Amino acid sequence: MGGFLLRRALDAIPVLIGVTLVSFALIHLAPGDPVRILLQGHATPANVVALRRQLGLDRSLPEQYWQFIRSAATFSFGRSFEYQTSVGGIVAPRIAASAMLIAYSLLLAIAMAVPLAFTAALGRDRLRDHAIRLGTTVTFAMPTFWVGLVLALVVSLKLRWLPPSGYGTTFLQHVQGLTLPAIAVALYLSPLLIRVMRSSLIDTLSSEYVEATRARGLSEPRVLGKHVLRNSLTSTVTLLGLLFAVLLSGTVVVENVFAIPGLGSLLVNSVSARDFPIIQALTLIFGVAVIAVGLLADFVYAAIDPRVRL
Amino acid sequence: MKSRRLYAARNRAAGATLAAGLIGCLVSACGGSATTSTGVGSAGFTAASVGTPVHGGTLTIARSYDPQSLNPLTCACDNGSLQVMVEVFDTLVSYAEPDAGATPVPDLATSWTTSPDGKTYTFKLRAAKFSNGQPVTAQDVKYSLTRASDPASSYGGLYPISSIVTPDSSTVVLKLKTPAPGLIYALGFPAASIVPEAVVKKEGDAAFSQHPVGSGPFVVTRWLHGQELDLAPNPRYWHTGLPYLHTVKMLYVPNDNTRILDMRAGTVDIADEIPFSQVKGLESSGIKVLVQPSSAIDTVILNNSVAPLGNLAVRQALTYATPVQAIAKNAFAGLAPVMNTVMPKLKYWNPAVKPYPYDIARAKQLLAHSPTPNGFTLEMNIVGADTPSKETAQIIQASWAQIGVKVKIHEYDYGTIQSRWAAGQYQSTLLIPDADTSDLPVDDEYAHGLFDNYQATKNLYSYYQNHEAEQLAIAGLTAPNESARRAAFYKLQEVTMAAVPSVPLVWAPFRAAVANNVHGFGYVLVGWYPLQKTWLSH
Repeated sequence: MGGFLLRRALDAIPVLIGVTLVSFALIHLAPGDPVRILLQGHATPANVVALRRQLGLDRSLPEQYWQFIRSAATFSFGRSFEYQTSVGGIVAPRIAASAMLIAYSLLLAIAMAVPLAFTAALGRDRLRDHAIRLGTTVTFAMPTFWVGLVLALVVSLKLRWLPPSGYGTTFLQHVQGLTLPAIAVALYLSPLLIRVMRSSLIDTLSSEYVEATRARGLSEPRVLGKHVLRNSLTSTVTLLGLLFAVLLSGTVVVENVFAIPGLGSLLVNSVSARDFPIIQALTLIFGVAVIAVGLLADFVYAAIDPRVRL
Repeated sequence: MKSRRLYAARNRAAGATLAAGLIGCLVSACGGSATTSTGVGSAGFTAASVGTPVHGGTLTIARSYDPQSLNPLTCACDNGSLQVMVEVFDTLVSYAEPDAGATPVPDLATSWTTSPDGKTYTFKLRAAKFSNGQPVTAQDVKYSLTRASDPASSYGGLYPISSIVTPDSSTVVLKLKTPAPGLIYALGFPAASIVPEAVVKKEGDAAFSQHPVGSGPFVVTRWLHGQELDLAPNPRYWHTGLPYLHTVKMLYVPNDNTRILDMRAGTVDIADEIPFSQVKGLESSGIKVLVQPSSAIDTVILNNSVAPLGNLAVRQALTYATPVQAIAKNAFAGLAPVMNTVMPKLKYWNPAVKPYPYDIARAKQLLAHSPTPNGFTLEMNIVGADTPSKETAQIIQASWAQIGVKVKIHEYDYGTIQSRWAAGQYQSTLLIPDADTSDLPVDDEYAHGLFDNYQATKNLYSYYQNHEAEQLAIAGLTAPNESARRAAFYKLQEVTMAAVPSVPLVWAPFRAAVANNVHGFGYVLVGWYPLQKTWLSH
């Protein structure tokens, strides 16, 4: 098990280097000059040259890349072009908001998916199965930002249960503020989970050992909870690992709609301003997060199913 | 020329119309009767209107901008930061009075005199204190203005100061290289904020930008980047009795629809940057929208170095073929006045200049006698996420097609648009309608920028040079008296409207939804809302 994980972790290193290289290349290839954006219309050529030097953009691309790697190794990530302060200081306080949003969304998605997948699988091809499949197709097709706005309209404006936007400063306010965005993300995420879980549940339910457990006289909850669920989880866990990247990108949009000060909304702002140090730091953080979740999924997978350790 | 960083607009594109319609329907019961609109068109402050001001209360504002740096000395001066700087810092003079800021009034300076040659300004300072208790001295003023006028600073050009003398602790004398009657207005711009020299030198620019100390009406009590900035009254503010508010909460809500939802839900008292298309809908559901004149300029910027745009007849033909009224009505919901000049509408606006009527026949005629009688293909760069830009470009595309000019619309994000414009890599471009605003309530900045700055910025990247316009701009910028100044700027507007280096469209106004219990709230022409006289009725 240890060797397996170590191998997977070592595999991640070239991937990370690739992520930093690609993100670095992309932002430098993209049109839009941070110096021009910062200085706006009134800049003289001398202002432009001076600011370019000050930001270190006059150096060669390999030098700039090396600078980025060095600053990343110390977690300072250099200075933001537009906030005029350290990138670490801008990014760190926002990690919590995004992490909470992701965890909350996952929790809700799983809470929605498990009972619905069971209902659909146990009632295969009956009305409730069709209803669930149709319903999830509809929620999956709705864009998250739109779902978010509709939720805010109904829950905040009509029912007045929650504020339409904001993150607040206390834990309770965070939870209140994150509820609608988390529902919006979960509504997008759960259809995928439900589909995969449903089909793998159906496979498991029709397998012989399930029949055998029933024949041994085990109670139905025991059969479903211990034997069926666990054996259908492998594909779901793999999917969750893969979906993490989707989940991250989903939060970008939702954070913007609900004014959540997370990493996603920061990324969007920074791309608009071509704030290279922040963009580089965030792509690296996202890259690390996706790889870490991938590893975690492998780990969980290996714990559930010993065959993968071979 | 500051421009706002356009984050908010990104969300306007996809589905915004759908969502807007939905919001409108659900909330105001589609097709319901419209109440009378009260806010639209009201010019100037809402102040004097109601009752006696009372102290206290929390004003919550949903803002489309996130402040980036609060150090006026290293001012990138995006609108999000400016709005906070004007509450925290004082300037020698300010625009914070109920004529929407066309005339500078005493702020830290109680009075000033100008020498007959216009090259020496003498200011008398009031006894004021910074929020840390230190007195505001002439030396602080000298330090602040020396930094502001440094040619290397990005706003140095606004302050042609050659030396600063402080005869005593409450007198400051500014000596100029050339007469610059516009300087007094520039001294009200936040880049000329007065900062405590000792604190800045001790902390350094970067740290000062995170926790600024000023002598203005408010102090920053909390700043959560990307989320919220809170203000409380400065207990040492020199104007006793002000400000009225107990707390100001500025929330960063980048999404247009979300700001409107916040307003409708009553969780905020003010929401700024209301999309033009949603102003009427809000008003019919009983929410007041303040629409006030701005110093913004919205034109089809033409690259005059690209053939055939260097040709006068071609530019005039394009202008005649532009249905500005239709653009004002459809893209700006009838809220933006049509431009009769190619400059922002400021203090020396010449009302006598005639706008070009929409006249396709005339346009065809002009084009027939140009080097391109059968028309040509023209690329137009626009910010794809900005609905008014998109609608404007589509109307223009349809209309110019009638005279044989085929417009190819290229959609980019705002950063790309700005970069391409400033690098001269464009044929024609639209900026965001209310993004580019004059920093001054007078014509000096744009007269200089558009017509007298070829060497530095190719006249704001128009690549347009006109000797007469250049001379008129210089005359206005250095005029010894008010009447000569007015005459020069009036003539400049006539000359440049005849030459149309860019195709004038509309002056986009500021729009903010304001709750009924908010009083004394309004924009100054150059783009921010001073809050020291804002109050809440209970």
